[in-house]
Amino acid sequence: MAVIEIDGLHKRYGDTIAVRDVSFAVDEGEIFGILGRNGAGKTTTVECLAGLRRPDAGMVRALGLDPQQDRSALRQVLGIQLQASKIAERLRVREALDLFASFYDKPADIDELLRLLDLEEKQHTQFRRLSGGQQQRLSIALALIGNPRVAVLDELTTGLDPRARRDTWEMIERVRASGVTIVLVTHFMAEAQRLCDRIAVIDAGSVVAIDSPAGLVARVDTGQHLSFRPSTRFDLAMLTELPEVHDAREDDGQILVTGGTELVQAVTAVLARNHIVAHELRVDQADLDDAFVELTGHRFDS
Amino acid sequence: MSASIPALRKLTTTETKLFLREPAAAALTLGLPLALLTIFGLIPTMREPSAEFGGTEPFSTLIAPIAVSITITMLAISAFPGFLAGYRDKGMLRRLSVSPVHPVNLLLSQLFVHLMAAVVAIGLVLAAGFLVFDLRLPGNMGGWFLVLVTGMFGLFSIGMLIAAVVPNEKAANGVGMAVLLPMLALGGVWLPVEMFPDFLQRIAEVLPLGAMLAGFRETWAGGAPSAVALISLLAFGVVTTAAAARLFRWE
Repeated sequence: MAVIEIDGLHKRYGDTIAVRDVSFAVDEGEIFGILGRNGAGKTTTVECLAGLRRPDAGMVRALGLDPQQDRSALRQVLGIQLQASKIAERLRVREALDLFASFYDKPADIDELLRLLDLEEKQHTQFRRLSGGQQQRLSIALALIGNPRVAVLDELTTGLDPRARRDTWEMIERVRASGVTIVLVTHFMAEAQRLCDRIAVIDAGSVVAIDSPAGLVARVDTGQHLSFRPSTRFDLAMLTELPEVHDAREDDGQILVTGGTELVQAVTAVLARNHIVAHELRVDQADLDDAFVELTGHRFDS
Repeated sequence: MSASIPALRKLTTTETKLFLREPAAAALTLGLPLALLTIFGLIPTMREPSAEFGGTEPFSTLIAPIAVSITITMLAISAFPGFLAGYRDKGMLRRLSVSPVHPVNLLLSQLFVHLMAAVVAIGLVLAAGFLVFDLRLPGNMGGWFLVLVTGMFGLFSIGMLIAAVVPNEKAANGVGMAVLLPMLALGGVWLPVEMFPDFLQRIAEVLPLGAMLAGFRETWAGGAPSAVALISLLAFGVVTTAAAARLFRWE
């Protein structure tokens, strides 16, 4: 069942079209990624979903509610973590949760949330004394304090160090396991690949693909790439005549082979038969980065 | 604009705690008027009736009114907008606008906290004056309260207008200073208005700080506050509140 439906969403600011005909549906219980470079239209989409912006055209529904017309009902059931929003410096973790809990009809249990997000030991610490990762975990907790069925997390791990980022990912998986549907807005490939069940790739205001991470990768059939340094010189024809090999060439003593899915087995078998040892053997497969380049026509590089 | 009472109450207690956790701001709010009272209270002639002041003691009819006026003005023009602008800058107003509680509730609780701070600070300043320097009670108590209420309305409305438009705390402080300094100079805080040329006295009379100070001086001496002062404070309040309501940026 779809908990969020966006259909034909348009939004422009003056002459700039921020979002152009964006459509997608988020199913209950999934982690749905909205992936795109900075300025691709992700935040505008989220702001329309949150009711902060009025769409120029198109339909937006969250849990069956219209963000413009059912604002207050929606705010009770949709938890939102906004990009770069901070709370008062001297507010303590528990006080912040206590304060936000008072805004909702059926707030979550504060102790449970503190446990879920590993903030128990920090509950009496002021916001300004938290690390970046802890601040982000608190902001997830604040997004969940109203017991929402859907949580939107916008650029959650931007500015975090790799360790804190991985910790945050673990928290997001825990939150999903507790039954909350998650919309994850990100410009990190690795984050989308690791966490999302499905991803909408947004580029220049439009959705260019919606699929699972594996599905997106499979769309870019660049095959497999293999490289190694042979123990002795040999005739490249030995490889090129294999049906699995599309291309083989030598570059400064290194053999580079591209081909189809069974490439590795075919090449290693023929090398073994000819008593050639492959040193520094490397296999590269297409990843989400390649898929992104293929789908949008430019490199990701945030 | 849903404003639930429990949420507003919680916000207000939270904002009160946060206000008290900024010791520098609280100390400054009390420190300046207390220092003023102490310095002038130690000058014996200030506490004696003076013909220049219509037979009253300048300590009661000039210094105490100044202390009360600057307490209100500093809280209204510099502390209050700074807090709100900081919240806008950090994204707290935006954060609230995706919660069930509209950020106007944060503004209301901040306003309440600063009004309370003004009342408490004035209470402490006056108590110190009575206990240590035999400050006189205002001769016209009712008129004095009327000036207090209209003065707070006028000054806090100006603070609200500043808070409505400045993007961050730094800008709030800058604009606050730019508004505060001419008000102090023209309001008769640095020099009594009696020493101003005539046309400046007319201006001082209608500027909010000058009007409030004149009102306090008149009522402390036992007279009635001038209608010009009261009307000017009310007019400033209404106009700036309306402007703030139109211009307030929640993001």
